[in-house]
Amino acid sequence: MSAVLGLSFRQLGGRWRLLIIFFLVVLQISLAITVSVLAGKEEDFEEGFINIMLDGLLVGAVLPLVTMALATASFGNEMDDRTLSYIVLKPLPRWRIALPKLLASIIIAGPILAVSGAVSTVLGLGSDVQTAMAVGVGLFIGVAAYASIFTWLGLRTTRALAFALVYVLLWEGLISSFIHGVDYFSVRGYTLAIMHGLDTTALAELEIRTIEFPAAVGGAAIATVAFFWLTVRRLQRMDVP
Amino acid sequence: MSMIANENIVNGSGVTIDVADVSKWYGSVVAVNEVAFKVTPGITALLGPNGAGKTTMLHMIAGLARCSEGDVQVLDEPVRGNPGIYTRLGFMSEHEAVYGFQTGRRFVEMSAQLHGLDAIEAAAKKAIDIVGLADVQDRPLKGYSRGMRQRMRLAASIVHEPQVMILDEPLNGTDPRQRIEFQDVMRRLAREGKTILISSHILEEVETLADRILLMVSGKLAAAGDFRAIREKLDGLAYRVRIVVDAPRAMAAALVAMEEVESVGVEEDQSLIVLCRNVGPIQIAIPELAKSNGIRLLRVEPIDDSLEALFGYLVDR
Amino acid sequence: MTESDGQLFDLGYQHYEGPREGRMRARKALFVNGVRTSLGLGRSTTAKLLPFAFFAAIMAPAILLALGASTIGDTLTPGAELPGHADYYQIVSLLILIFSAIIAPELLCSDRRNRVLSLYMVRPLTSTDYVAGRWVAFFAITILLVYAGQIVLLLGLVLGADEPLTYLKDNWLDIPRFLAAGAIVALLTTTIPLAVAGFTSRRAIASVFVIGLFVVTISVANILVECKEHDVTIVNGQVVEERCEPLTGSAAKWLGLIDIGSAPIHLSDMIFDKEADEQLGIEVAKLNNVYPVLWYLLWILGPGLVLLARYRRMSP
Repeated sequence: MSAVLGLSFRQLGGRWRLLIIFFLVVLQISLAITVSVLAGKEEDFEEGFINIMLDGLLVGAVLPLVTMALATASFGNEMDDRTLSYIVLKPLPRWRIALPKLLASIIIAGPILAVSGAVSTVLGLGSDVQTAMAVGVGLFIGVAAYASIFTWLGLRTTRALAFALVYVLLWEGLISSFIHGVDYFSVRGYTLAIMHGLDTTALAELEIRTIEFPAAVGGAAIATVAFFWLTVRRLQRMDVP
Repeated sequence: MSMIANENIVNGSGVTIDVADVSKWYGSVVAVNEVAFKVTPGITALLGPNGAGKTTMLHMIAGLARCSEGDVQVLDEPVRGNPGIYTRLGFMSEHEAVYGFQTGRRFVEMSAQLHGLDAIEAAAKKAIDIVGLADVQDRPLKGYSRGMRQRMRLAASIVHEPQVMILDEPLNGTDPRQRIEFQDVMRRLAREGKTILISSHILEEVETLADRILLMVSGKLAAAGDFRAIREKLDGLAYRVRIVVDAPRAMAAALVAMEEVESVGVEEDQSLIVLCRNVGPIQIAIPELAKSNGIRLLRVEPIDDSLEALFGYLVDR
Repeated sequence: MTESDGQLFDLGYQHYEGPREGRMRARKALFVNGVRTSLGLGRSTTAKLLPFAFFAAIMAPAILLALGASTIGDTLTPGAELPGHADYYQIVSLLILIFSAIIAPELLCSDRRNRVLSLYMVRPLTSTDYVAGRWVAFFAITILLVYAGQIVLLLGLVLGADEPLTYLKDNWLDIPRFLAAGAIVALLTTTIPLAVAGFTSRRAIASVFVIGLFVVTISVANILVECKEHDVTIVNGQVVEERCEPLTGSAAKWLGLIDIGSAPIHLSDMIFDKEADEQLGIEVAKLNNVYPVLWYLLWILGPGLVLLARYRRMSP
């Protein structure tokens, strides 16, 4: 299993990819600092920061895009290049092939995004460790859930990225702003709710638009496990090119 | 006109691959149509024109594709949904793509590692030595020539010393010298009792290499077994023998008188083309005829006693 | 007995005896191929799904607005207006963006990935021809998409008005305006994704990069022009005066330009002489008109030239 993991790291961790992720992280943090310096003293600064920086930029854009770029490529590259047979024709149960593929994107994206989110919260809001942890943990769980869905998409279809973009921008973005119930079926909703649930006081601003904490935890867990199971099943049943 | 039916080929100890009435369709396109055969240890070649369904068939035997109907068993175990079989089964696909960033050695070692072998480096070294690429193994695969890539892929598919090997067009892109070495490797493995199923277009090599052939045309199995035996069973296909003598017309007259000879044609270069049902009697009769008629015999050459002729005949039928 | 002459026809390889057309024909064929690839014609139904779904999605607001205009147009209170031609692009900009980010890379990336560029280059086509052909094909489709909606909207507004002909006479200026604004939007959404696609052979990467570029710049720009102080003066329940002090002070009107995706919208607002209603638009409107135009041109010509240069130096 570690062989597949190592292979996936090598495949996903291209120089350009990592550079862009790094750039986004730096952007996030410097923006947080800039904003805090310029307007930290204003009264509704906190709410603005949380709404726009956290919800809009970080959770709404950077998180899904970075995870998407990595996770759809996990199997997507193998399918495109027709190299899937090299790892599938081995005496390994299919989950031992699917799991390292999933973990590779989580291990690359998770800590980076969680830490950058935590850091920008600290620098931007001047908040304490608890809030930073809440943001970090929420982001990490978001990465896990997104990665599971997108890994499955990458295996299932060649147009994985198109579907992923439509899901994130239209379903989680546009439609959820009209229909609140969509948040029960959106990783963005889970992420925000988990952040809020872990630190209700500092992140109270998120309250209005988030679902209940238990529902979010359950939803994220179910999404992660269910799509992983679907990936394993697909590996078992598919015709390998 | 008789045709080879899908009969058992018993030539060795036990059946290693059992394909039982397998069909595969994609929507309304039937790629493989009720094919049944058994493969035993030794080298078996799967032939057929492009689009005959060979690759699909091999994918099903390797468990990569699901049979729409029918069943495939390797070493008495199902291949589908049975990853454990891959310890004894090796497969080399028709796609030449590899992980360009890996070195050849790493590619083979990874294969060994995923097979759960204990002595990964030793096994990889052995496989790489067999294919003769020990001096380039530390170069990244993207710098390999096509033939080198094929051989490294072969090394990766045999590193775990499988009992059954399925190779889809392994000779693609190899030069003649490499092909000869490859044949030696295959023969050696076959002598060790392994089962090798190769799909190939290169009929001359298959002729020298394979003990038995399986010929697929348009998704169906058209012939199976030793190709000379198949040929004999094809009554509709006459043998052609070219004879060069110093008195062609006299020889022609003498030949036509024989019952086994169907027809004799005189070519532009004055050689004779004899069509007959049975080569044996002709070969005995020709020298006698020549001697008794005072004709000098210069050359006797069966011109289509080859796989190619058989192939051409069966495919175009 | 009549004399009949028998004829024997050669069924073998037939030579082509017709006219051999030149570069123009090749260019035209390339254009048609580009259009067909973008729309998924000649491929499976699923390949057609995405373009046509986008088409429907982009038309939907137009249809809704057209219907709305004809039914409830007169019952609105004075001062309130239904969104019209001027607002259409803002509404559909997200969809047009996603459409171009997903489909444009297909035109360039697939050929490079499958290494078939050399097949194009042995024809009477230069690499400039190739890139230009792809560009024109995608531009044509985007323009079609964009105009289709506007025309539907126009029809709705015209037919729904009490006096259609009068409406047309009063508002005929809208037509050249939306044609111009549509072209401006299409130029941007064609050039940038194609330029990005020229640098990677994997479609997916290009798509994500383009979306990421636009989404991140929108967010960053919005953050930087956010109001840090917001004073609203209300007299008798009506908003009389709004004052907003942006975060970055007087630099905000420049920083607002960071939102590249809105660059064509700013120009569209200028054409329609529309007042922006969002913070970002308001800030940028404070700039002299020249600057948004220059900025827009930069983002058209820059990526365009980069794309040309890239293909000229590429070996197939």
